[in-house]
Amino acid sequence: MLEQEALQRLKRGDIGGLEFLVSQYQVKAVRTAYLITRDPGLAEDVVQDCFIQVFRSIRGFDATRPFEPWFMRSVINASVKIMQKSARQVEVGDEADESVWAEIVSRVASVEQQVESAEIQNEIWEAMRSLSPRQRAVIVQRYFLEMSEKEMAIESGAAVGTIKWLLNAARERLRSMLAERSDE
Amino acid sequence: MKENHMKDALENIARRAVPEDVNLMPKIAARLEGRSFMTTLRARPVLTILLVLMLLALLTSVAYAIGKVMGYIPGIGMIDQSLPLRILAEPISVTRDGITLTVEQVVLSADKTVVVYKVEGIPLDAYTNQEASQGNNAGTGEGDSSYSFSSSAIIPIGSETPEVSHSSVEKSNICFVDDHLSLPDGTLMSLQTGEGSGWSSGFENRHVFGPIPDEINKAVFLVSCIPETAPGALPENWEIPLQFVSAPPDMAVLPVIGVAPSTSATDNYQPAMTVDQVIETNDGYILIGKFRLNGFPSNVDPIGFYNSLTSFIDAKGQIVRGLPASGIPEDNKVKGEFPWAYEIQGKQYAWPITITMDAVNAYLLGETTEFEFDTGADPQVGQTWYLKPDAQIAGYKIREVSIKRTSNAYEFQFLTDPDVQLFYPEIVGIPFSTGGGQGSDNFHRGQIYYQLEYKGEPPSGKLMIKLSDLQVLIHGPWQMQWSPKDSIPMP
Repeated sequence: MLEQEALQRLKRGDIGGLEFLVSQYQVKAVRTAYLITRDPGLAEDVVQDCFIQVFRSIRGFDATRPFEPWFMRSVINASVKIMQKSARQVEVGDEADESVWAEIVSRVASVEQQVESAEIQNEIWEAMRSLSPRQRAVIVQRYFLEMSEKEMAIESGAAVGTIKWLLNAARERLRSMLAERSDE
Repeated sequence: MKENHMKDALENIARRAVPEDVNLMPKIAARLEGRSFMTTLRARPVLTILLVLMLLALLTSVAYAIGKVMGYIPGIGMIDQSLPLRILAEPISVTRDGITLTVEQVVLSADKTVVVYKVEGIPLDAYTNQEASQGNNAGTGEGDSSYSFSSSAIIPIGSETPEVSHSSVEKSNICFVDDHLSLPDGTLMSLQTGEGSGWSSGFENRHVFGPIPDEINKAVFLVSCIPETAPGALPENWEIPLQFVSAPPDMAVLPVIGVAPSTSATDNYQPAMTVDQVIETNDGYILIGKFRLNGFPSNVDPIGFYNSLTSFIDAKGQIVRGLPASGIPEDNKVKGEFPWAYEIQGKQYAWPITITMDAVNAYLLGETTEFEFDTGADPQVGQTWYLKPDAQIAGYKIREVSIKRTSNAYEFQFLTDPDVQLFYPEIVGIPFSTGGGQGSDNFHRGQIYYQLEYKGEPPSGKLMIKLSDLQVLIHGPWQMQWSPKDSIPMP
């Protein structure tokens, strides 16, 4: 079954259409939600809710557009929202020092050849804990979902300048770290 | 390059916690079925008739849990007793602007939390769906309209039956069932499944959430808004504080009894129709089983059976009263079989009883057909075409088709072979915005209605109509016998 066919089936209320979309996107969606919520069970709940919402609101979706960006945006938004609502939210708020973001990327850059090691991954994971859900979402969008800055700005609804500043700052930091390493 | 490394790192982190074989569909399907049931009952009484037909008269789709200490509480359903049960300390009512929400009952078990609540005092004009108002007006003061129908028709669970075209409110502006339980630690629990019934000014729901940890004895029941009403029309964001206490030792929990496997049925087609579990209630028995359609082509997938085509007769030929049972947890449907549960009312019968299914409903997977439809150069709103296409789908004839054009839709009425229950029409290559309809029933055998809506004007010219997702009646009969003495304790 093609995605278009699944969407058409879904539009007429056929749960088989939804089943296809679930099978296609559930793993990526749950992993995305997990990177923001840090809780696999909660991540599954979030994605379930998003698929339910798809079923309810599919009539308003233009089936000629790709489904994945539309859906992943809802997963990101729902993940951030549930973390902001729940007591699991980290103490750092959305307005926290954005240098934390640059610090994380710099950590990766400094060990770029070893990033596949579990130890480094754990460091990244722990560093991400200190970010607010919204900041985590930005990381996930840029690096896990590999969205462009423009896409991020559009999809996140954030100010374009904010996204650009965050990413540029991170890149500057990376370049700086790399330069230091090459000088050594 | 560095970004690739970051992606790899995040991929590895996520992969460790979320395996490739994650499967969300069973829970999603269960929740959608609960929503579909509830919302249809609440807001579309006319269509409720059809959905109730499905739920009560035909497709009993239930299953059971194995390997747990299962029990059954009337009004609550089947629960896992491996941990001590807890209940709501006392019923709680909250009234806002004349609307009263009462949490009547909560039962907390090892596998779930069941919340039974009622909403009363809903004014008719709060509903967004004009059809709902019309239907309710027709039945004002007549009480519950949901459980008094006994004929048969098919609408697949979750289907979008036709909306009233003159409704001024879009579906997206309707409140949906969106209940949650909020725990003191901040956990927000989502609805898993549920059932409900409605009447002109209220409804009662039995909603199922996941289990609440033993040490938590408080929660807040959250109802964001009253389903199928317009957002803002009624008080929203209801928060009902709940207090849980240990269930009294004498609380009635009925045992779930396993049945000896020798009671499998035999018949011409060699299906396995079984009663696998039995619950003895105060005034009868709940039988839980499976129906497997063996010996048919692999694309025949049975969905369920019809109440009106199922009978229970005792050893003296007397009719045994039976109704589809509720509160039995649904399981994943396996291709080639469906689970069922029936409640036998009364115990004073000449045993054994004979259960007969005259026919079952089944998908014929992959079957399609197409025929041409020419609107002419200048089709008009209100114009109707009558066709006699020389078309068959899986050997079933499409005898006549009438197609009416409206400002934004085509309304199809098909006359087919009587065993055709439902299929979905579409105009090849032209996406529609929404569709809905209803299938054949006992009084309108082989009559199928379907409407396709478009964002602008419906297409015109030489069009190709495609029919797919065929459902038909497969005739038996299939029989088996059951007696209370077949019941044995579960291991």
